[in-house]
Amino acid sequence: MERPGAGLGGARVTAVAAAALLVLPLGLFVGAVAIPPGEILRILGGGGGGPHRDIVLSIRLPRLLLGALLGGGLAMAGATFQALLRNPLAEPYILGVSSGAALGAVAALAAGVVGGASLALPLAAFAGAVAALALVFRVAAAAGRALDVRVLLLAGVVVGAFFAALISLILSLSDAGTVRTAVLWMMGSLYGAGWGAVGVAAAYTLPTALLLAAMARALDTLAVGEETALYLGTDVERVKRVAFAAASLVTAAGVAVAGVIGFVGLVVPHALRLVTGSRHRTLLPLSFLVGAAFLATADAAAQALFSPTEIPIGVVTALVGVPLFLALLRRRMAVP
Amino acid sequence: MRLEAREVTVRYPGAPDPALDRVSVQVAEGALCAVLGPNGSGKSTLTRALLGAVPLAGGEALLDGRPVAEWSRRALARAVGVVPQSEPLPFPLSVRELVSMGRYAHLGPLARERARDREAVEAALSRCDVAHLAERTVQTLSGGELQRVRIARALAQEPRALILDEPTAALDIRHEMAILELLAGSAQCGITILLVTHHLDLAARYAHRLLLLDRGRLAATGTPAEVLTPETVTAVYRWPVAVRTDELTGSPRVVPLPGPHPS
Amino acid sequence: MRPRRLRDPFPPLLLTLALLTPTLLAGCRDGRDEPALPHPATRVLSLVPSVTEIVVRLGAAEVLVGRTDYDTLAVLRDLPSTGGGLGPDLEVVRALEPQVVIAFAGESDPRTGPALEGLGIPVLAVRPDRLADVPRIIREVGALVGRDARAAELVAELEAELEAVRAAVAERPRVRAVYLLGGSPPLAAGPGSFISDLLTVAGATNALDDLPGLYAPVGTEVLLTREIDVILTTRGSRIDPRVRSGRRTVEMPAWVEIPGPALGRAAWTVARALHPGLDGGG
Repeated sequence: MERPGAGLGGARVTAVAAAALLVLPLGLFVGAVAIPPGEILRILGGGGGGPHRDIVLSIRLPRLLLGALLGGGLAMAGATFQALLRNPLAEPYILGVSSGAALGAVAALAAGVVGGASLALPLAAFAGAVAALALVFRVAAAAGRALDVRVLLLAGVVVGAFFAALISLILSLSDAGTVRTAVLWMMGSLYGAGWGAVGVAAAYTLPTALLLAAMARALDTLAVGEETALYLGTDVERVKRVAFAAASLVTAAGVAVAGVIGFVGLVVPHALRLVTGSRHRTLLPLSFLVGAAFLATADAAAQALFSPTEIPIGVVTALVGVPLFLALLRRRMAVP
Repeated sequence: MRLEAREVTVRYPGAPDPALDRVSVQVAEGALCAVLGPNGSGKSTLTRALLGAVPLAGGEALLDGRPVAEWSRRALARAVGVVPQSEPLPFPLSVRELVSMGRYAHLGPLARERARDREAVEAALSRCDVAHLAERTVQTLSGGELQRVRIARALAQEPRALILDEPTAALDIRHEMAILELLAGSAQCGITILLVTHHLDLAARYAHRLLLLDRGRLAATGTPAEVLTPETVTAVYRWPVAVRTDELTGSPRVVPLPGPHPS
Repeated sequence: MRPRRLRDPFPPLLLTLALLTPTLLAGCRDGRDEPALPHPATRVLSLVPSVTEIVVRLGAAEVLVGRTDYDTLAVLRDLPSTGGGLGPDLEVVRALEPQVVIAFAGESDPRTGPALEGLGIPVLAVRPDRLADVPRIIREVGALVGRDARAAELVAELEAELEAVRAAVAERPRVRAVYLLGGSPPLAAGPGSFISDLLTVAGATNALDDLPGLYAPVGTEVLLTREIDVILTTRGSRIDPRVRSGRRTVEMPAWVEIPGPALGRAAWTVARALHPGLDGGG
């Protein structure tokens, strides 16, 4: 049976990348206030003025870029976790990052420290994510198998469940406003994204993306098997440490800024493997581009579908992601 | 390349007995050495010890006179091609992609593939008779075809030594013989071969030296004729055997005898 | 090569600090001076319905440039809507070009305030949680829209109404009451809440005065074993029938629970529910 993409490899890769880049900026043209495309292009070129200029440059553009950075980061992290855990169903939250971040955010909300400070909530979420990861790695180390992927997976599930229980506890003792905010936060949202958030996301996402891309070949070998990777010249333990840390960091930063946005990290790399193959040299950059386009588009949909109210972006990625995932699963089952 | 183990001891966590107990082995450059022994005797562990893939409780392993611990993984991969017993391979890959990974140790993380690398891959594919499968997905291959692909990957590394753990287990006569002849030919070109196998007769036919392991200890070492005596084989495998000399090849042939009556 | 002893994969303190630096820098950027409130404001967007009502009562409805989906007053019907009061559509807000936005303070909506300030729009954050907050907010809003005198009048009227309620119930024995909102187990108003303040003014003590937080779920056992004379419930909430025996149950309209300029009427409504046959009031 022909491998998907065989013989057309380069052409497919280019086509996918081009499609992603074309779709990515569409969010600029969507919004509650109708702005003609011509005017938007003029504003981007430095012209235009008044509220429309502000809307495009201070509301739509940073939000689009944030969505792109987060989507790209989550998709790359997902691809990396899939390789490290040698499991096509792995995704960035598998080691408890989302539960940890949610706990941090909920705790901050319940403690009333959030208020007007824009920084407290993401910092608390980030701290929670890091705490969850540290706990997962500690649990695995205590079992004597510090980077054994099966133990890590189990520890991730257990820690995640524990944190989820703590979240429920806090929410059950909180007032309605806090609960509502917490629940909406956990569904993910890019609402209110400004250039500050873009800067933070870029600072975390771009360097780790480059780092992961540089480890493409090492990840190829790890995805085959750890013993084999060792014999092919990969410093397995070092690569695992760095890759786990990098992928976890970009995931934690993403969740801290925008809440729990699911399915991007699972579906995008999974679909790309079927279309353009599993070599990380192409899979990682493509995951970034397609993840960016996917999330940016999902965000545009989240805003447009029930305008002027917006629905949580996690809802859109799930509603789109689940059928997509089922379709992929069927296709995958057909491949022996 | 010379492979050497000196008084190597390996203990797996939680196991009462050592997997390897003060085993000393020397494989000369260009030698084809087969490692034999019953299940659980430590054959795979020995290969892992030589490659630094398992911590040593005692002794030391040396490649070309240098302790394995001093080799970087990349340098080691450029020097030694390994075909492990199995690997998970959860993601679809083409045969060509899998074999190309043999070149990673030469390329490092970032360098582009050169014509040189592509040639090495093509040569490896042909020598293992899998060139016609190059664009197939690895997961669709038969056990034997996959085996040959993995051997091709090791050859693509252009190593000075090959360590293979039961490489012909799933192969038919034609392919098994082809691989052994390939290995013999490589040995003649100066590549050191360490082969873990269950096929006593073929090992006896092709190997210059045999290592016979028994429950973690070295039971016998030497030429096939020296090692494969009826007393030794019966004692190690705990099954009565006779040993004949094959008329055509002149090498020892082990003939299992009917077992002891159940009492 | 001997496999190295595995270390904790997470970086030491220094590296963590380096990693946090981008976030901290972003915070410094956001900590710069907030835009100043205009004085008086002629283009106001209120995202808090009770405050919108205050603006209308101050006679300043013409300064309002928009509304939320939850503003039902007829005079506002033709104004463009920003969607919800929590998480309004930022594009609509910006397009309305308000001089100031009045928004909920606190945990209900942590992102809106910073986002508006990022757009250079001043924000007046209000927290109408308790009875005492309302007069204060009326005065703040009055100052904002240049209706200080009218604001003072409104506050005086409200306080007079509350005094009248207090006087009307002064002779009556204090009733032990609880106020239950919906939910299973039902959410009860705790000691720090606006509703509890209303109960106090209306001549009742909150039988659940040891509840943590503003509102908290309360189980049937607690409701059965506490000494309660009257149970006030939100329209549409279901109460365990066993809890009703031996107590009077009165259903309250939802608007009573929201702290706003109608709190005088709210106080009378609660008082009449607590004390049957009460005279007076609007």
